[in-house]
Amino acid sequence: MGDSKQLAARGKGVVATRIRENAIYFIVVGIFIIFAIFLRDKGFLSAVNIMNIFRQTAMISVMAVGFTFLLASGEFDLSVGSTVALCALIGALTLQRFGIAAAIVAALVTGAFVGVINGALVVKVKMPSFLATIATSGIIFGFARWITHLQAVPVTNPKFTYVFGAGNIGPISTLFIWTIVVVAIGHVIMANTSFGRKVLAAGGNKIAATFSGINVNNVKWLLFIAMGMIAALAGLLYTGRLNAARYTYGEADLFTIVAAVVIGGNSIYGGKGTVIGALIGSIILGMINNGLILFGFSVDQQIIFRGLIILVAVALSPKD
Amino acid sequence: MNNNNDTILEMVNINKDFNGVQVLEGINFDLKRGEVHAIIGQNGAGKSVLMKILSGVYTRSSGKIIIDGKEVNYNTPMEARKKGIGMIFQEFSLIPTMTVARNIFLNREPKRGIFIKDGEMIKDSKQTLEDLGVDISPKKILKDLSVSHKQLVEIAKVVSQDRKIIVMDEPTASLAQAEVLILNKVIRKLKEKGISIIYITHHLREIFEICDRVTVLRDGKKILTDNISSTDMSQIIEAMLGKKIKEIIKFQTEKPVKRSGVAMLEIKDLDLGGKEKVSFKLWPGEVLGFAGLMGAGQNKLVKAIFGIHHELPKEMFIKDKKINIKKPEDALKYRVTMVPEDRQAQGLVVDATIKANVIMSILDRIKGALFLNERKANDTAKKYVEDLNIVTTTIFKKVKLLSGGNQQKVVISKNLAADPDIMILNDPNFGVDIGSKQEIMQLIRKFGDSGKSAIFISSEFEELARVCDRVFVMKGGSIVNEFVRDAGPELSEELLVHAAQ
Repeated sequence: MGDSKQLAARGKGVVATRIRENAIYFIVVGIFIIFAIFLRDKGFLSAVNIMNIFRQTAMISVMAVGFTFLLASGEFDLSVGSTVALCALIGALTLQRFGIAAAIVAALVTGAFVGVINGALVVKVKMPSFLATIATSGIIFGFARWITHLQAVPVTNPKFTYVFGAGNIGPISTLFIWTIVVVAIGHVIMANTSFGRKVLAAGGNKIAATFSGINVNNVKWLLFIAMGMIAALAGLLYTGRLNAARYTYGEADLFTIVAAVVIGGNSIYGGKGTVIGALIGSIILGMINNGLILFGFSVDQQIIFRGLIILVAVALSPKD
Repeated sequence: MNNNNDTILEMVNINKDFNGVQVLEGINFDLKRGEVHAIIGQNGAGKSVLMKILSGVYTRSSGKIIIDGKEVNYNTPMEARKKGIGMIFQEFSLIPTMTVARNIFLNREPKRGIFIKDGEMIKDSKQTLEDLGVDISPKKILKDLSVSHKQLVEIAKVVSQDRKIIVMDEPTASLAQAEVLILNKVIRKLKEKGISIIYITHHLREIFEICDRVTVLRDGKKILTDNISSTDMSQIIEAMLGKKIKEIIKFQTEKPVKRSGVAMLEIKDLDLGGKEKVSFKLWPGEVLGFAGLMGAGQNKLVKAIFGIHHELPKEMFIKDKKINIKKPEDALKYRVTMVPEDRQAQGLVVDATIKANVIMSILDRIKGALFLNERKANDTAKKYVEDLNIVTTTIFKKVKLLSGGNQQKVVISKNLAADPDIMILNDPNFGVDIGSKQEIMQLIRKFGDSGKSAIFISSEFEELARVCDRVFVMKGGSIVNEFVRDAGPELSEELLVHAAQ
């Protein structure tokens, strides 16, 4: 049969795709080795510096998990950055008056609320998520500036700062633990649950998923809510780590999150989802950032460099 | 090879391999001026590769292409077009948001300075369409046209570019019977103008109506080229399949359907906008067909049952229990599944694996407390790959790498996995090779024989006549006729075609 011939021909393509799909792991190791060699005198390999990389990338990694799910389902959330700020401020304000438990609940509820609205706009009003979340992003950012009149909200509760980012268990930062926990949960949901398959089906072909009895709208709505809550968690982590909540948190994060997720091998066209890939993407960006600092590049130069890296990553990523 | 001026195209000793795997072997093909030449073959026989070489999408490994007596060399579709080769694909190359005229003149609009001369464009489009004997307003927005009219616009677009050779890849795949007649008329007009047509189709009957010669490919080799008048259906099928098959296999049940007691499904007063509302009962063990021209209502009808057109007023009963299906999710709960009309757009996640597609509608049924039961998922996928004879090396192969027939079997597997009581099949044999078609028909029959019920729509009435226990004929949104197997006139294609006109 001609079929079998074509199949054999396609077999080679499969191998090539496999290599391409796993290129990310080689890249992360490659960069690590290069930096380890060229920056060995500047302490790149020191335990403190390595933990620093994880500390700096924790919030991005955590949010990249939620973003991976949204992207896999074929949606965007451009309001994550401003949600981080709003939730951080609301969390910090609540903490001042009502304590830790209330602060956590308040931040998460705020994030979830944002998700409910974003989801409703996309699922019920049928707006493209790209536009809907640009709009809500502006509104949320305005609120974040407004509630404290641009003032930072200091946080002194030691228990809070310990749990959310400033603390260490032995040599390990609590930020690192948060990262691992969220990534692990995200990975398991994506890879091992029926919900994960529904997300991929929704993003792969919405109509086919609907015809298969999957409630695509509910799946997406849930993902927006989860994204909002993860952004809230990131807001708490920023607050804990920096001992204050500020309206500027998360401002530049969207860029980095998208970069991490795409570098990690996720398609912006939906239907694919690798949480581990997103984590690796985030670590690559963190490592490069760290390396550039150790090399002595200025902040401006770092930003330009990061843009270039994203271009290269996207150019190399599979297009179909 | 004849080299007189009657021959517009010759493809000589064409070979093509992909990474060393030979997919075309020494193909010789010639096309005469004003000829309609059919290319026939099962999926994977090499038809589309050959046409992609002709149209510059693929480059041949060796061989010559001679157009008008001159050897030509080109490597891109653009260059092929310049040599006068036009392609009409199954997927239309039209922009849905533009008018007919703008589509026909896309990227070569008549201009004055920088401004498009809309009036001239509309006039010329109108002329082209009229020449083809087609009544479509050039000012209409494309997406408002029916599929068949879109197809005719596509043809008009190619014709207006003065192509000498037009390749039509399954032009009738999405057309109903009456519309095929319009297309045939258009093809005759093209012939009169001296345009040569290469006609690829799975519908063998068509080639006897419209084609002058036929070439059959099998496994990358040419098996025969002959005048239509000196060959016949069984000879062509034999060349295609490489073995003799019985000409028409009827898939009939041994157990007659019992049409009394509790019906599997009852539809009452479904308003499809026709003269009369639609009411019928579907019985256990019954394969119920709906015949009709495109737009006669059968499509809307199944979508109403499946919860896509839930807004259409109706009453529904499953096993005498009144129910309401508002969305496909509800349908699945009542064990109603559907094989949709467009398998790629509606039936499959083509970038996902066979396994992922097969288990898509049973995700919640094969999960444990927290996690998906992978073993059950794999076993389910393997079972259907085996049962339905899906040709693949592994259940982890991406569906887009399968042939059309095998893709459709994946869709049907997904349906069967959901263990439906009622399976709706909306033109499941669309663009499927003959072998798979037989298997799909067999599956539908087996499904009915197991005591379940199927609703079967097909644009090929022959299929309905072969497999259904009963066929309703629809016209203008109403049921106008009912034929029951073994009661009254024999259920045949002719009978249904006649009733649907």
